[in-house]
Order: sequence, then C-alpha cells, then structure tokens
Amino acid sequence: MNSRVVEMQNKYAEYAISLIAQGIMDDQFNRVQNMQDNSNPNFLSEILSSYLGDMPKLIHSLALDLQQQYVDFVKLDKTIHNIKGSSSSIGAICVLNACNAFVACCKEQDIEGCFKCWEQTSNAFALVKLKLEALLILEQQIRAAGGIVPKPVGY
Amino acid sequence: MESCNCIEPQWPPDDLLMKYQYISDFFIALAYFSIPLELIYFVKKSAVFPYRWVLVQFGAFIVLCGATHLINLWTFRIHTKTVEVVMTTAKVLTAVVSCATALMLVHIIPDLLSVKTRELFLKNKAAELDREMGLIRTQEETGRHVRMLTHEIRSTLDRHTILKTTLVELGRTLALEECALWMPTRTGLELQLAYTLRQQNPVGFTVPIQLPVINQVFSTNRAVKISPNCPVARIRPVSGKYMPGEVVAVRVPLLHLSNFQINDWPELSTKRYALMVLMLPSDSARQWHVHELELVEVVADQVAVALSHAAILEESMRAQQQLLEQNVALDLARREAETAIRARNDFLAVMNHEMRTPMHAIIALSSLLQETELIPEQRLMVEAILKSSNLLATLINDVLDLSRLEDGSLMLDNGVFNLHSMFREVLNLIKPIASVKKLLISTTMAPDVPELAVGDEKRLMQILLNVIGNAVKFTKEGSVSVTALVAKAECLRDARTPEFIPVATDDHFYLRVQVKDSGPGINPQDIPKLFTKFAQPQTPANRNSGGSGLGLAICKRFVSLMEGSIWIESEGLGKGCTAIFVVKLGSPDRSNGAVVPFASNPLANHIQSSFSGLKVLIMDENGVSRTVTKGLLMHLGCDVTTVASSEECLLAVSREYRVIFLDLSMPGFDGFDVAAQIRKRFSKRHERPLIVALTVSTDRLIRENCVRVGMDGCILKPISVDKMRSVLSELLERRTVFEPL
Repeated sequence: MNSRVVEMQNKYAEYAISLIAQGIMDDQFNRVQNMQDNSNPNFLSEILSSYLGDMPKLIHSLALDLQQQYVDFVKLDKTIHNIKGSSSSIGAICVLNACNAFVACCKEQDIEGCFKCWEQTSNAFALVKLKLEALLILEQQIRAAGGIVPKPVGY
Repeated sequence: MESCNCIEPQWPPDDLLMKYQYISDFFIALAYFSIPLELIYFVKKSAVFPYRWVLVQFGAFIVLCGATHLINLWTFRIHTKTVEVVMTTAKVLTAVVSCATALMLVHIIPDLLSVKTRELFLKNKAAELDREMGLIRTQEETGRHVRMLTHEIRSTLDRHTILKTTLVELGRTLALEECALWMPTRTGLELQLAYTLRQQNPVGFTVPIQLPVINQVFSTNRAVKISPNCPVARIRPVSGKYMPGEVVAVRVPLLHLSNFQINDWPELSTKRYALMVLMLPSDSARQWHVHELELVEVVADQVAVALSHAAILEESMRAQQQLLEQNVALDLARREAETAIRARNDFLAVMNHEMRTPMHAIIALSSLLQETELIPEQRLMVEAILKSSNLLATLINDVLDLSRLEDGSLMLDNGVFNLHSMFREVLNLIKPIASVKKLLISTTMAPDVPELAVGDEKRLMQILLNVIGNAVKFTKEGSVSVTALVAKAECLRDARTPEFIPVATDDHFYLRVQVKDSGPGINPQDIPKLFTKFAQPQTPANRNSGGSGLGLAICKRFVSLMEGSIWIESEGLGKGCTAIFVVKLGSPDRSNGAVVPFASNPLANHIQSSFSGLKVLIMDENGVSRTVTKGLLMHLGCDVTTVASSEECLLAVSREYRVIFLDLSMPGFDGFDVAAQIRKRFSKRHERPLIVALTVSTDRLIRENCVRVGMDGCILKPISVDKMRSVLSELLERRTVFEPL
C-alpha cells in the first residue's frame, strides 16, 4: 500500500480519535463510522454532509424565533429537540450538551438564558462543523488516493 | 092392668128429688157432650199433642158418660124395656171405656207431670245462660278496650306518649279516679312518681323501693290489691272524710335489648320495674272485678313491650346518629389524607425534576470545569463544589427513593444479570477508597453461587455499595471482608429474625452476603436505631463522616422488597462489626416470562450474522437520525425503507415488512398512536410486522406505554451495530425485545 495512503489513514484515525478525546464527539460517532461498508460506501460523508447542511438552518431559525416579540417556546423546544436528535444520532456530544442546557432554559421561559444557550449551541456547532469538515476532507483525500477509510476498532 | 115390659122407676116421677136428679142429669149430659167438643177444638188448634189415642179414649168415655146420663132422663117415667136395655148397654160400655181410660191415665199422668219438671229445668238453664252471656259480653268489651289501648300504646314509639296514653285509656276504660306510674330512679333505690292521670304536674314524690308492699307487687306478675293508705297510693292530698276506693298495683317490667332471648322471656333476676297504681273512685261501692284485674295485667305487659320498643328505637337512632357523625369525620379525614398525599406527590414530582436538573447541571459543569486549566486554589474550590454537589445529589436521591419506598409505590426492576460481575463492579468502585485508607478488602464467593440470577441488579448493587461503603467508611484500619454464599435453611435461622426461614426452591434461592469489618464496632444497644431514618448513633467515630443516616434505612426497605432480611452484629465497641443480609433472587429459567432480558452476554445460542433481505421500515422525523438508523440496519444487511411522518408510515406499512422501527425521540410525535393503528390493521398475529420503539429516554412510563399499545419492543438509543444485531435476532426468535432500563 502506498505509504502516503497509510500516512493519510493514520492521520485520519488520529484525528477521529482526538475528536472523541476532546469531548467534541462521543462513542456514537464511532458507531456511525462503523456503519460504512461495501453496501454503503459513502455513508459517513453522506450523513455528515446531511447533518452539517441541516444544522445551520435550524440554528438560524432558532435565532429568528428568539428575536420575536412574543417568543414561541413550544416551537423553540421542538427545534431544539430536532437539533438534539440529529446531534445525538451522529454523536456530536458538545452540541448535545449545549442543547440540554437550552432545553432547560426554554422550559423556564428564561429569554436571557435562552440567548446565552443559543450562543453556546451555535458555538458548539461551529466547532463541530470545523472539525467534521476537516475530517471529511481527509476522507476525500484517502478516497482519491485509492485507499479505504479506516474504521474504529471494536464497534 | 096389663103387665108391660116397662120398667118402673123406683121413685114417683113427681117427687122433688126426682126433679132435681132429672135436671142434674140433663146438665151433666150437656157438659159431658160439650167437653169433647172443646177438647177437639183446642187440640185442633194446638200444634203438638202427642196423645191422640188417649184423647179418643177420653172422648169416648165422656161421650158415653153423657149418653148414659142422657138416657137416664128417660128412666124417670115409665119407660119401656128397650130404653132400659139401651141404658144398660150404655152403662156397660161406659164402664168398659172408663176402666180403660183409668188404666191409661196411670201411664199418662206421670209423663204429663214430668213435662212440667222439664219446663222448670229449661227455664233455669235459660236464666243461667243469660247470666253467662252477660259475663261474656262484659269480657268482650274489656277485650276490646284492651285492644284499643294496646293499639294506642303501640302506635307510637315515643316513651312519654306511650305512658300518658296508657294512663288515659285505662282511666277511661275502667272509670278510675286516679292512675299513677312510678318509675325507678337512676340509682335504682327509689321510685319516683313519673306520670299521673288527673294531676298536671306531679310533684317529684319519691318512695324507697324496698317497701314491703312494693316488694309484694314486684314479686308477682299479677295485679295486687293494696291498701289505699300505703305511700304509693297516697298521691292526692287526703281531704275530708271519704272512703277511698280500692287500689290495685301492678308491676311493669322495663326491658332492655339485652334482656331479649330467643324463645323465652328473661328471668326475674336482672329486673327493673315500674309501678302502676290504679284507684277506683272513692265513695263508690265498686270493687275490682277479676276481669278488670286481668285487663290491668295485660295492659302492663303491653306497656312493657311498647316501652322496650321505644327504648330500642332510641338506641338505634342514637347509634345511627353516631355512625353518621363518624362517617362525616372519616370522610373528612380521608379527604385530608388524600390532599396530603396529593401535596406530597406534587412536591415529590417537583423535587424529582426541578431539583435534579440544576443538580446535574452543577455536577456536569463542575466536572467539565475540573478538566480545564485551573490554578491550585481554583482547583480546590472546584473540588469542594463537586464534592458538596455530589453529596447533595445523593441526599436528594436518597430522600426521593425513601419516600417512594415508604408509600409502597416502588417496585423492583427484575431482570437477569450476572451476579459475579456485579460483585466485581462493586468492588472495583470500592477498591480505590479502600486503598487510600490502606484497608484490605477481600471477597469470597462460595462455589455454589450461580453465575446468573433474576433480580433488581441496580438496587442490589445499591445495597451492597451501601453496606460495604459503610464498612469502609467507619473502619480506620484493618480489613473488610465480604463473603457471599447461597443460604441453606439450617444456617440461616438467626435468633434475631426467628420468623424468617428461607426455603430455596427450583425458582429461586437466597443469597447471603456478610460484610465484616475491623472497625470501632457498635454498642449493641444502638443497633436497632441504625435502621431508622435520620437517626445516627453519635459516636466520635462517625460525627465527621457525613451521611444523612438514610442509607441503611433504604437498604432495609430494598431488602424487604426482595423478601429478605438485613441485620448487624457487633460484639461491642472496639470489636468490629458484621453486617449480614439475605435476599431472595430468582434462578434464571429460559422458559418463564414474556419479558426476556437483553443481556450483555447474549443468551441466545445462535445469532444471525446477517439479516440479508429482511424488510424493515424506519419511521423517524429527524433526518440525520433516520439516516443513521438506516445505515445501521443496512450494515446488517437489511432491506430498509424510511418514512418521515406518521401518515407516510401508515401508507407504507404492509405485510411485507417484518420489522417497523418507530423513533419516539421527537416531541409531539405520538408513536403510540401509530403503533396502535398498525396493530389494528393486522389482525392475524403471524402477518403483523413487529413494532419496535427507539427512544433516548429512560422513563419507565414510555416502556409501559409501549407494552400497553402492543408494541413488540423498546430499545434505548444510542445503538451499536452489535446491539442492533442482538436486538434483531432476539426479535425474530422471540418476537419481543424489551431492554431493561
């Protein structure tokens, strides 16, 4: 095997592991990575792209909702749950945590708190987006070089 | 002169005597002829005359006599022989008939006389009957009076009315001058004048009950004549001289409910009597007649019965009133209790969520904070915050647990688990603390302790942690040894709990765990207090060790839920302490229960490695989540279809899908409704696709709802490939998979 590919694969693996070590992603991310196989070769990129594509719209809609004169907390709650669901599905734990706090503020109808939480969620997502996009680029490079994307062990 | 056959009378016809004879004979003949005519006339008139034959005879006799005398008329002058012959014949016949008649009369006259005696007899009899009739009539009238009186008395249940009516009616019926009723006082030593007929307000005369005359009256149930001068009869002031009428007194038994026996009247021994005194009008010559006395006795009896009825009614009304009041009070108490329970539950619900959430937030954020760069002082502060918040969280959990335990609403979460690994986990948790304190922890597991058991793993762990934790906490140096074995009946008979005799059967066994420490020990007197809430024996050893004192109390509750027992033995201060508990665990049996546990060591002997071609439908409103689940199932080889809403789901559902996964994570999505509709659509069990719910929440309620709507499984996210593999094989093999929460 091409040593460059091996090097890229190592880099990819390290990066993926570091994401979890830093607490940005969690174990679910490993499982998601594991789901990719011959029958589903582009699963990871598809799912991550889908996630990274959906989230900004949702976060933006949250911002709009919060800026209304009469904030609809029910709608807010629904959107946050949507974000939570998606984030937990791929294992974006930092976004998930931010969402949990957001849910609590929403329940108390604390607008100040909600604003802070939105900020946190937005920041968390920004971080995740950065990291995942980097990972996707690495994956693309490996593919382009003809290698297979490494999968985490034991999932 | 020629001789003729004429007969010459003896006397000359012109003689005066002859003349008189002639006239007499004529009249005799006339009378004799008229008598039979009269007889015939009167006999014809009378209806009954038994002696016709005698009459005929007598008639003949009379007629012949008359004829004789008539013919005699011709013999006063010269008469021929023919006349003489006729005369003789007549006489002869008359003689015959009269003799016959005389003979007959000998028979007849005694009969006629006896008729007269019979008549006299009948007349006497009639007079007697008349007298008796009079008597009966009087009695009947008396009886009528009694009935009327009784009716009056019994028509009311009011004591006062009964007695008043009695006196009035008696007075009227018997035309009494005065009628009085003496009732016994509460003490029973005196009789008090309660009611009188004529006087409006009887002054409260009292008379001691032991008077001989009263005893005499009380000793018999007949009416007794008493002297008008005795104290009970002297009701009205004696004015002037008059002959007081006769006085009669009778007892009236006052019966109580308890006196009534089934078939006979009660005995005299437990008797309270009232005295009824009746006085005939003075200056009258009236006397008490027997029937009047009988009337009085009957009335007294009736009054007794009526009074007892009135008393029974009074009592029952009182009891009813009491019951009503009690009911009202009970109702109030129940409502108060319900309000209290509701308030408590509300409080618990609030505590449960509201207090836990910030608590967890504090703990989570503090731990996160710990991970960041901190200066030593900051680190100390953060550690302190963390410790305190952990304590607080434990306290909240303990109190909540205990409250749920106390009102019996806590139920064990039974499932199959690995006993050995549970012990290992507990020890792994305790070891670090023990090593810091330089304590030696040793575990011994008897060889007959099974690998797997059925029970509430989490709570058993809680008990173990608590007990071992206590041992470690209170032991400064030395060792803590943990022994686990299967209890046999003989070795378990503990003096402290003699009523607890465990018997192992095929389905279950008793696990005995003993934790012995070499700590300061406990005063045997303090041991009972250990298991009570919030009470901690204050020894210098544990004053600083913290803890809310709830731990052992909770353990005890859990242990009893597991049908076991827990106790502590200590030989005294400084001699260490041994905590022992026995709990009942089930032996895992593959054939029982519909809820099959999802064990970490898969129980299934064969797991399908690939589920190629298995048609699966995923229903998830969240796009990313949907794709992930799809990827998971595709990785396992399934033929996956996805839908994003309930409508799409219901449209897409058909017989060809073996499994349908419903993701319950999104708020506002009623997966249960969809499941119910799917179930309704497929009536035959083998055609129906299996429905499994996916959820992130560990809320028990969700699982219960899944079971309720008829889902075949409920799985917690996140799901690894391995987990999904096991879930699918479990599902296809057993048609049900519920993950223990």
